[in-house]
Amino acid sequence: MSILGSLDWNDIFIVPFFTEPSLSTGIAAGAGGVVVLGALAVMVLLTVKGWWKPLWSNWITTLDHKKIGVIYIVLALIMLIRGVLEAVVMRAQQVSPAPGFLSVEHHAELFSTHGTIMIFFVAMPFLTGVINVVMPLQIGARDMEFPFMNAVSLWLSIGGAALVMASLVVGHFETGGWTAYPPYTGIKLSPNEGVDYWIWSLGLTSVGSTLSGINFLVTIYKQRAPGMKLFDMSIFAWATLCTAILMIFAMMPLTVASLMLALDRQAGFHFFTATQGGNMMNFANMFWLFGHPEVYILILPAFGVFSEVIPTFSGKKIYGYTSLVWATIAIAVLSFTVWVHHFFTMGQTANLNAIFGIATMTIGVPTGVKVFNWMLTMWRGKLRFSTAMLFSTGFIFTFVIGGITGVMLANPTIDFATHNSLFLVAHFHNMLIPGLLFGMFAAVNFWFPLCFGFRLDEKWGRRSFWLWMIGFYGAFMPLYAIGLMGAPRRMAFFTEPAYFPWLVIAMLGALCVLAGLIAQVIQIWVSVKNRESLMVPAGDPWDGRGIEWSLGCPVPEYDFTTIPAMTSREPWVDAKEAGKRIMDPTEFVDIHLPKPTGMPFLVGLVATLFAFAMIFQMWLIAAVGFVAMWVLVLIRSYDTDWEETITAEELREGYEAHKRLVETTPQIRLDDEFTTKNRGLIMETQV
Amino acid sequence: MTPLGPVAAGERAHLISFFLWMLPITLPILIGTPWIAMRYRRHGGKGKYDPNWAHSVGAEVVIWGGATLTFLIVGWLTWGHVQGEDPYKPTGKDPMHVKVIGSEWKWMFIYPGKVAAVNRLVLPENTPVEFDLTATGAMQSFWIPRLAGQIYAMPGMKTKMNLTTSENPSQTYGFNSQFNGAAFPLNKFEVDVVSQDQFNAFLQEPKHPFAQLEKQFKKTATWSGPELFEPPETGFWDKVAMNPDMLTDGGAAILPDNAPEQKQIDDAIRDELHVSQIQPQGDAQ
Ligand code: HEM
Ligand SMILES: [Cu+2]
Ligand SMILES: [Cu+2]
Repeated sequence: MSILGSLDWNDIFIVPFFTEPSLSTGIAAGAGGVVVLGALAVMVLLTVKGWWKPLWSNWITTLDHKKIGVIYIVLALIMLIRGVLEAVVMRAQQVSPAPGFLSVEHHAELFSTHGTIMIFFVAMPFLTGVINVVMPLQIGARDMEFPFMNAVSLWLSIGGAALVMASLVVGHFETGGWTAYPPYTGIKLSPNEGVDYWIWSLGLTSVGSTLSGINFLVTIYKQRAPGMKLFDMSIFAWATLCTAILMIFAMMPLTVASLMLALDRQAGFHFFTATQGGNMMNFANMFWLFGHPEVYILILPAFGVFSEVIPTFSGKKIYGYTSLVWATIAIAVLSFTVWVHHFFTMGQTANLNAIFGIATMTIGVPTGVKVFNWMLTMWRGKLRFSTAMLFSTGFIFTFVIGGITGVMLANPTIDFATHNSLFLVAHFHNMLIPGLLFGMFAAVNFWFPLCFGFRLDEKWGRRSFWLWMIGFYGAFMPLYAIGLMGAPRRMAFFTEPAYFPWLVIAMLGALCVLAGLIAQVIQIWVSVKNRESLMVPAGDPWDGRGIEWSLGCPVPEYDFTTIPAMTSREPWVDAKEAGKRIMDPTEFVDIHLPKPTGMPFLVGLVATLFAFAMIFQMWLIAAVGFVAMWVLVLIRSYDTDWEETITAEELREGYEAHKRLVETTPQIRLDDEFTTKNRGLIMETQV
Repeated sequence: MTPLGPVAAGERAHLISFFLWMLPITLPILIGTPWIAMRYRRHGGKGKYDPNWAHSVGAEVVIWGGATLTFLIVGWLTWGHVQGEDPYKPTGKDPMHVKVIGSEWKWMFIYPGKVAAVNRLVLPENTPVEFDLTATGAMQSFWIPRLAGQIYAMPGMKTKMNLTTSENPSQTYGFNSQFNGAAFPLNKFEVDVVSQDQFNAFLQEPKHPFAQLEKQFKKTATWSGPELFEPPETGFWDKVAMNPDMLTDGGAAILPDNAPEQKQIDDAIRDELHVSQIQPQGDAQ
């Protein structure tokens, strides 16, 4: 066997187009071309502008939790663009005269990459990024407990995403959907490298996510500001805590299941083949043992975001703090007890189905309570509809519809008639788009100034909200309808004339979503262009409540000049009510921060090389990559000179500078918060 | 989706009933959210401002109580529905047995001792039927939407599904809803519910030898050819269920680039589309 394993000419993206030209292969070649050209264009840009060095020293080597968070979010946005474009292509395929312009397999690759990307390379990095930026600031920490490991997680996730992108250029992705059930994904029925792409890209990110979970959890346990009890934490921090626990326990079954699948495929094992004593139902069980908690990993952080945004823009305390916390904990615990609802149709007994169906419905109780809590937070408030608040309100309204259909699907007898149908597809998008993406969009609009020092443009933000909202209804309500008529999911084309008008509406909806995404790109572009006038250096541009808003924007590398004194649940609100505009300093002490290092990047790089080699069975290269990965970690472990000190004096200067800034920033009214008058430190004044 | 049989009708009734039961707890949110958004908006809203209102025992009781009550109702209903409509439970006395084998990309129906058919399911009207399901190759999901919900057919495993056919003769279709490769959109079959006499006539139709079916069925391909065959020896289905490889040559469901099978599938798709233009499956609403 050659050193290049199973790789051959036909795997290179443009070759199939030349050997067999068609619209389908043309699109594949085009997509590969976009990836290659895009990568080249970025490199040229970096070279021309001389940005390689700053990119390396400010971003790639950073261990700062805020910057790591930003990189995660950038990754998520790039992958979101790909995911939405794929969705639009699928929608276009189904409205063009059957059999459409894509082959069945190409369409299958599209829904598989779309699903895989949206879950693992949009949702996961997005929420991990937001947690990275916000959580330490909310608990009064200077960084994650394990900053180096944090960066390793990041680069493993990027490696996984890079592999999915690589599948456009070299070889194929798999076609068995994001769930990749064997025996379809076994070596017999799916002999090409597609499933291996799925296994190894997920392998990298799932390890990254497990490590992130550990990091978040330990950070919350060990790094809270002195005096901060668990029940003093913000709801977002609580959401992070529960998410972290889910990440630690839920990623494992996925990692194990996918490695077992890899053994089946490449080492002749029979975990999931029926004939040799294996059983693919074990895969379904393990996958969903991960998969169901996963959907709560996706949703809880967004719940946390809404619990911060809504009180802020209602000018009001959060309603029912204790209720919310217990509801979050209940959801996290219950999420491990319901996985069978993903395969009520697998032939288990009626009692088992009924028990899991009912267990699923219990989750509706705490979730429903949370929705009412948010509503009651708005009740008797003074609501300001910023972009973040619009996304939050839109979420409450839309999410409830998904909740209704969710309870319906939890009844096994209804599930028999809707499983594997577009009704189900509509349901989970109905949960994930408001319950995940809207939350993340709200988070970006809300906390953006902490990272970059300026606000995002509100006009384009609001436009993007309306486009997303209308687009969502257009794209998915029709799927409920045709799902109930019996339209299955993952279908390349339909021959049923009655579906057609609905599919056209869904197509228009998807285009509207795409327009929403474009509006967001414009929003960022416009904001960067006008950043001078959007600058809020004094911090707290929205009369915020958490202690992260007591800091100047952008937040300095060390986060806090002194660790804030936690005298209550909302010390920043107390300080403002006492007429202060800066928190009283506690004690200035020397602090140690880890130095930037290129090591995590290198670990990610060799891990990706290892994974790529595993995909194409280049065993020698794989071995080298695997060993190199651990050698790098070892080298780092023996490095003693990894910290740098920031002296108490520097911190005091930082504090004084911020104080001067605060004193010279004029007090403006809350009504002016979206105008250029807002330079930070806005407050409700009695008018 | 208009149900043709009692099982599908039951499923639809549950669907509607669950939707309605969810309304008492969700309508307040669907109506309340826009209402609160209007009433308490900062500019022009009429609501009273009370920034420290953050707890109310009454509200907690109503929220947790309302959610719990809804849960108790739908949970209780679920228990009843699931027990009443267990797909493993025959829907009547002495159901007729049909043994089913799903494969890439076709279905075999065995009427024990009588006939074997491919992609054609003929059933007598108003009769309880029990399907015994298994598969070779990939996992499939056996679904005849207008008669009953789906159950997986899996290689190496036996599952069951019960239903009662429509009261009068009717025509519909069934299919596999679990994606299984290059010809997934063609993985469907006709379902004819006929009178008892017609059914008896069906059993008497001329048949081809089973060996021919077995040979062709092993190929990973869509079905083209005759539909009716002599039945296999008794116990054949059980043997396949224990050893699914005996009924497949193990071709790929994901075809390599330029595979000759792809041409066949393309032709079959073209064929299929042509047919469906003349005779739409007419299953809207
Ligand atoms: C932004 C607008 C979106 C549109 C228009 C869209 C559209 C689609 C379409 C057309 C499918 C294929 C349905 C089928 O099986 O026939 C699909 C599948 C899927 N989508 Fe989306 N989607 C969107 C966003 C998302 C998001 C945000 C997520 C998750 C975070 C997501 C997760 C999935 C998953 C998991 C699948 C299933 C893939 C599979 O069958 O294995 N989608 N989507
Ligand atoms: Cu099974
Ligand atoms: Cu679930």
